[in-house]
Amino acid sequence: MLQVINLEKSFGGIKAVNGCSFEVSKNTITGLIGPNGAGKTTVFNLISGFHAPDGGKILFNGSRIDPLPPYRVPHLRLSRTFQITRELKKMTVIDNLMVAPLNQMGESLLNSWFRIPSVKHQEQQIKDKALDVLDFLEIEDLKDEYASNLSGGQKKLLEFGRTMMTDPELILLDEPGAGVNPTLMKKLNGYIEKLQRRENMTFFLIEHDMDLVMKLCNPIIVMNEGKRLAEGTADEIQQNQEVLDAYLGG
Amino acid sequence: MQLIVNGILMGAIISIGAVGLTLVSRILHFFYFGYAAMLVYGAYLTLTFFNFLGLPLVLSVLISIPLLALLAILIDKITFKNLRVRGTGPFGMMVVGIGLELFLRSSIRLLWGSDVMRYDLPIRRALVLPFDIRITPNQIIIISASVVLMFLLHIFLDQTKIGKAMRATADNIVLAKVRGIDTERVIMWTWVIASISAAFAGFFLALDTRLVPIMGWKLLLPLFAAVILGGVGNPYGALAGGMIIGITGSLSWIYYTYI
Amino acid sequence: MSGAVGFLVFFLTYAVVYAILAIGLNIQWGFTGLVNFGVAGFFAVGAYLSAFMTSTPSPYHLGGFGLPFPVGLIVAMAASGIFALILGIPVIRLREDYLAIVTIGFAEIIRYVIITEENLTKGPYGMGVIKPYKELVPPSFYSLFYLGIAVIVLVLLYVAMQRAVHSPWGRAIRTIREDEQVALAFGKNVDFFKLQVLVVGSMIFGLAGAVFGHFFNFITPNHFLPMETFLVWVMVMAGGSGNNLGVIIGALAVRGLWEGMMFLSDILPQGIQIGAVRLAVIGLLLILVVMVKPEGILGEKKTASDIL
Repeated sequence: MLQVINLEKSFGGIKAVNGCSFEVSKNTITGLIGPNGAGKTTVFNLISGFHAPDGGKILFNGSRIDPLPPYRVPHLRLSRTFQITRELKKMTVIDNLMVAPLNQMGESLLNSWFRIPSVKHQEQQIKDKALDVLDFLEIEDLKDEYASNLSGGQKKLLEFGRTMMTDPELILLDEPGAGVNPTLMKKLNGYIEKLQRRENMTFFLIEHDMDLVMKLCNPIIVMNEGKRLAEGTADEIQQNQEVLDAYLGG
Repeated sequence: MQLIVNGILMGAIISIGAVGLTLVSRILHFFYFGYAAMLVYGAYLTLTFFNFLGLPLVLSVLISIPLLALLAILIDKITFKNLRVRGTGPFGMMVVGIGLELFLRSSIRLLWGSDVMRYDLPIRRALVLPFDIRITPNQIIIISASVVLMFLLHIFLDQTKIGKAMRATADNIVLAKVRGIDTERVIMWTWVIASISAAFAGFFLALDTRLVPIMGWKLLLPLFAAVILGGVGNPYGALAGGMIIGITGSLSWIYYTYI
Repeated sequence: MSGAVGFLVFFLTYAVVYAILAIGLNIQWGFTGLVNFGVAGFFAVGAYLSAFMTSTPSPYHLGGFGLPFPVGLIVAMAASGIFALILGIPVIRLREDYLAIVTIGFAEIIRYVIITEENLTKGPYGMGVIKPYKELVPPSFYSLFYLGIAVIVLVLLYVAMQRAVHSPWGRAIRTIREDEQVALAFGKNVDFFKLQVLVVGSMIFGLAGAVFGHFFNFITPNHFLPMETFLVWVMVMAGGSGNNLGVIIGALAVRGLWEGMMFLSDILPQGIQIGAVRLAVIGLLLILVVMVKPEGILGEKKTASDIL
């Protein structure tokens, strides 16, 4: 589904991604792990269009997406979260969700003046979907809260819920477990697995929490120093000497 | 030819002014419109010491510098320091800077009046040089003094400890902090250099033309242009930028008159 | 009309013009976070273009097509919009403070062009602007009549902008203000939205300019100094950025303060220049608003879109 081929990216003098290649298969929960500085978030940024690669290419469902600007990528049904939650602080939770869907008629100024019934209709659909998402994540009572008032864990859920609003086929999760307490983490795992089964979604996640990764992800891709180091099931990775060296030695 | 000389003169004034502004812009991390007021204060303080108190001209300029620096540092402590601590971005600080410019300009009007003023100097005939160039002795003084100042500034930035610290902070503030440079002290010294820069630029402008409260504001956009042209935070760039702005501004009159 | 009432009508009309400006800036900065310090420039474009369109033929300035008032308004808006587009395309991605400098520069360029191109604009001597529909109203009531016209324009604008801002479009631009990267991550073409906002806001400034020209009946470059831009900024920042009603109130309050200070000169001791005092007060307001309460007095409405 997602193919990264010989990707390269430098910042200043530092080569963050150095000939990285891997594939993410459809309907999997694939993990991306590696020591700090391995280039994982950079790869995410390259995939979602926030950086342009210096070399190599990225294919999604067969077509090249590396030259696309970031706002085009979601239209291909590829969503992402950010490592540090980026909730829209001065807006309510439900607004945070309702801003997400693509191709909203009401986002055209002329439509919002002259095609009010159609805009209202679409807006209602979006609102219903947002309420569904909130319900699924069990935070529907927060809907009118300012996003800045949420706890860290709730913000993570919001971030996650937002990606669901665009009906994606592939969701990139950047450290979904960071700073999340174990109970909530279990819940999140549950949501991810449910979506994978029910909606046939594919998940690609960066994570440092090994418990989470080993339990949830199959396969797991390991990156080190800007390229793919290893790939396999949880057991295979845990027994791979090179992986252990990378984490311990560096 | 005359236009080029005029351009050099204007360029010198802009350059000297731009050096202070570029350092403030970079190290304080915002575009300080209040710098225009510093320029005008420099000119008017010099006026006070020279015209009203009868001190020698050079001394008047030199005395106004520490006063200007004191004012700038005081303002910094009351306003910008607070905003720095709060994490206010460059835009917020810029708006405060605009407010300060208005406030300071009005204080000049209240203290010295809005009328046009001049330094009590005798009018000296322009010298006529080859190529039909006319230049007054004052203008010669301005240009030569500018060169001297540029040289002194270079020595300061290059040789002194605080000068190097300033360059380091201007280059990369995070790295400078990591290396143990006391950024608040650097900021203080930045205001001092800015005061020197502004005082002289204001004085030169007033010497060549006259004193009006709005004179700083009129120079502000060319100053910013020179700063940005030369690269924000680069004093040598500011010097070059100032000269370019001055000379091209002057030469553009050719277009206006002939085309 | 008696003196006091006449002055009130004059003041209110002036305030309405600025309320229109404030709404425009509110859309740009209050809702979208776009910094535009060139308000005065677009204000001027609108005023002069409407004057050109509606005046009688004259060898001293451009235009003189004698077209009706509504045409003047439309052309004013269109011209400002076009200028905004031309300015906007290269600068739309600049950081806030750089954008501020560029837009101030733009406004000053416009002002200098108006001053120097005397053959087109009568430069510093100023241009007369017609009183629309003056045949319909007895002269003593004309100012009240024009105030009515201005208020109608303001109300129509307010309704249109409230609709725009409390719709998915408004939600999208608010998202851009809060976090551009998130907007991009969810498919919004940020550059396009910003450009839209720049153009629409500037068209509003142009509209205000036209309304001003036909109100004052005489426009000079001195009506479009940077100070006008700063006044509008104080109105928006103090009145409540992100709240259209708030900025209208802000416009009234700041204009009231500005005019009111002129009366102070009667009670202050001799020799204090009231013009300088006014300057100082506006300066202080700008400083205080940033340091004390940047969101202004009236806050923003909680829900982004209430189209339902």
